[in-house]
Amino acid sequence: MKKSTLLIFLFSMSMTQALRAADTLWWSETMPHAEHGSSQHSHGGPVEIRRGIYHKNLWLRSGDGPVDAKYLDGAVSGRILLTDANGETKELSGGNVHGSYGVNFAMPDEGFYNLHLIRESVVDGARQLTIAKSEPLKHSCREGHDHVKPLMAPKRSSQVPMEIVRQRTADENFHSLLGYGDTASFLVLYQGEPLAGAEVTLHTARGWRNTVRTDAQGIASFMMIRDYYPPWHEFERRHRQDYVVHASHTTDDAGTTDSGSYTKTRYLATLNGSYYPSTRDYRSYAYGLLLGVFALTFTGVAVYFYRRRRQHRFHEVRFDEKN
Amino acid sequence: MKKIRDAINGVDLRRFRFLLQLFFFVLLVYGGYFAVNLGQSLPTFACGFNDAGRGGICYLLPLQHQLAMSWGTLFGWAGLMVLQGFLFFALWFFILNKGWCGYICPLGTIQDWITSLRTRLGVRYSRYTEGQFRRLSLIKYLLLALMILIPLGIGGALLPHDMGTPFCDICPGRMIIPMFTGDFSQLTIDFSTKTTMVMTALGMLVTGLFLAGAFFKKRFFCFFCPMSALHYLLSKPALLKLKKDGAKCTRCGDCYRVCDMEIREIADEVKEPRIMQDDCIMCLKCVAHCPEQGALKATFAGIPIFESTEQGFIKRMTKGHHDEHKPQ
Repeated sequence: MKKSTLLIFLFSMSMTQALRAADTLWWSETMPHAEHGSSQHSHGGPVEIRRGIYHKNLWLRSGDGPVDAKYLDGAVSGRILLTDANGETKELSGGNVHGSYGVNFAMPDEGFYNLHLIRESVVDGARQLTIAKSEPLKHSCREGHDHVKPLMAPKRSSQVPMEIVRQRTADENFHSLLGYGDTASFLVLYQGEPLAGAEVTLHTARGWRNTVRTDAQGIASFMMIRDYYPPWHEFERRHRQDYVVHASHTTDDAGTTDSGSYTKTRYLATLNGSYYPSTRDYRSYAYGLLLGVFALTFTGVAVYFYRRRRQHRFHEVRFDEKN
Repeated sequence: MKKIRDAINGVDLRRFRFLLQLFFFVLLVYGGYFAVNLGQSLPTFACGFNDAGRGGICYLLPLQHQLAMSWGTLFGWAGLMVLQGFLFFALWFFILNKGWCGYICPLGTIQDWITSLRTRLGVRYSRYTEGQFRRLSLIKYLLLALMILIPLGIGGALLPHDMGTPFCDICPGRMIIPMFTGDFSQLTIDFSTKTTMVMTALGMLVTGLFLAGAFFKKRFFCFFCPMSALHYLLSKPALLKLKKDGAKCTRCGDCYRVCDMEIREIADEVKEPRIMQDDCIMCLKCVAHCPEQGALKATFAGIPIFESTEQGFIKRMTKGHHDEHKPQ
C-alpha cells in the first residue's frame, strides 16, 4: 500500500471514530463552506450543471437539527444507495465534496431520486441502524410539464429496513414548495409496512421542533411554522430553509455482529427537506382588489363624464323667413 | 354542391361564432379536467396560470421564459429549443391565421360577452377617432418589443430576474382566466420585491381598465395585444385568408360599421385583394354584412369557404322579422 493511501485510510478511520455511533445522521443540500461558491437554483433545489446535466451535492451532517448539526470532515462507514428517477438502484461511495463529507451524483432524468445511507453499529449492547434518506428532485422547465404527474409518486425502497416517505399533496407538482402554514405529512415504513405509534420529530432551520406519534396508517403530520423575519428590503421569497425529520423504533431483536452482541435493536430513520416563505407572507389580496376596483371605477366614471361633457343641450334656431 | 355553398354563405354567423367561441372557451379553460393538452405553443391566450383547467398554454409564456435564459445558454444549444417552440407556434398559427383571435381566444370571448352585456343594458359603445386609432394601434408593437427585449435583458443580467415574464405580469388574462376555474390567487399584489410589487400592481390596474374598457369599447384589449402584432408579422403565408374584390365593392361602408376593430381599410381599400390588417381578428362579420356578391370572402388554402352574397345578407338582415310578414 502506498504511503499516501495509508495516511488517507488512517485519517478516514480516525474521523469515523470521531463520529459517535449513536449520532443522528442526515443529508443536507446546504453547502457547508461559502468560500466554495454557490450552486445554481433549480426547481429541485441547488444543483451544479455540467455540460447540461444536473449534478446534486448532498452532505452528511451529524446532530439533531439544522441549528447544531455538524458537517463531517472524514469518511463515514455504511452503504450509500442511490435509486434514480427510473427506479434503478446502485451503490455510491461518498467523499470530500467542497470540503466536507458528502456525495455527488448526476441526475440525467426528470423526477425524484432517493439516496439512502445505511449505517449499523452496536453500542452498550444495543444495535443501532441509522437510515439517512434524502429525496432530491430533478426538474427543468425546458423538459416541459406534460410528463410530471406519473413521476410524482414517492418511491419505496425494499433494501432499507425503515424509512420515512414524504406524502404528496393532491395538487402537488414539480414546482410546489412547502411553505409556512402548510402541513407536511410523513409515512413511516418499517420492513415495508406502515408503522403505527412511532415517535417522529421534526426540526426546523432555527431550532423549533415538534414530536408526534404516527397514526394507525403510519402517518405523522406537522404544520410548518414561520421562522423567517427579515426586514422587508431583505426578504427573499425563495429563501430556502432545511428541515429534518427523525423517526425511531426499537425492537427486541437480539443477535451478534462483528461489533459485538446485542439484546435489542433501535432503528433511526431521517429525512431532510426544504421549506420556504408562504405566498401568504408576501401576497396581498386586499391591495390587489383595491387597485383593480379603483381602475375599474375610475375608468367607468371617466367615460361617463367624458360622454356627458360631449352632450350638448338642444338649442332651437329660428329663422325669420322675412329676412 | 351549390346548395351546400348557399347554406354556408347564408349561415347565421353570429350564432355560429357564439357556439364556436363557447366550445373553444371550454376546451382551453376547462380542457385540463378532460385530459386535453394542446401543448405550450398556442397562438392564443390559453393562460398558463390557469393550472388546473388549461387545455394548452399561450406561447407568450414559454417564449418569455426561454428568452430570459442566460445568453450563453440561449445562443447555444438551448437556442434550438426556442426555435422548435416558435416553429410549433407558427404551425398552429398558419392554420387559422387571425381566426385564433376572432374565434378561439378566451380573452377575446370574454370581451365579446362583456359587449353582449352592455348591449342588453342599452349602453352605447365608444369608437376611436381616426387619429386615436392610428396612435393606439402602435402600442401592441411596443408591447411586443418590450416583451422580447426585457427577458433578453434578464438573460444578459442587465435587468432583475423577477421581471421574468413581463407581459404575463400585466396581462389581464392572468388575473381573469384562472377565476373561471375558481383560482383567485392571481388577484394579489406580490410584495416580495420592488419589481414584482410594481409589476403585479400594474397588472391589477390593467385588469380594472380591461373590464371597464371592454364594457364601453368592443374588443378593447385587442388593440394593445402583442400576440396580435406577432400574428400579423407571420400572417402572409397562413392558410386562412380574407380577400376583397374591389371591383364589386360599392363602398356602402357596412363592413366598416360592423367591424369591432374599426378597420377603415376594409371599406376604403379597393385595389389590394389581401385586405387583412394588423388589427383584424378575422371574425368575418364584414363578410356576413356585405350585400355584394363575392365582394368579400374568406378562403382556406385558396378555396373560398365563406363569401358575401345578396341572399345571405338578406337572410341575416331579415332574421327575426319573418313573423311580421306572415299572414295572420
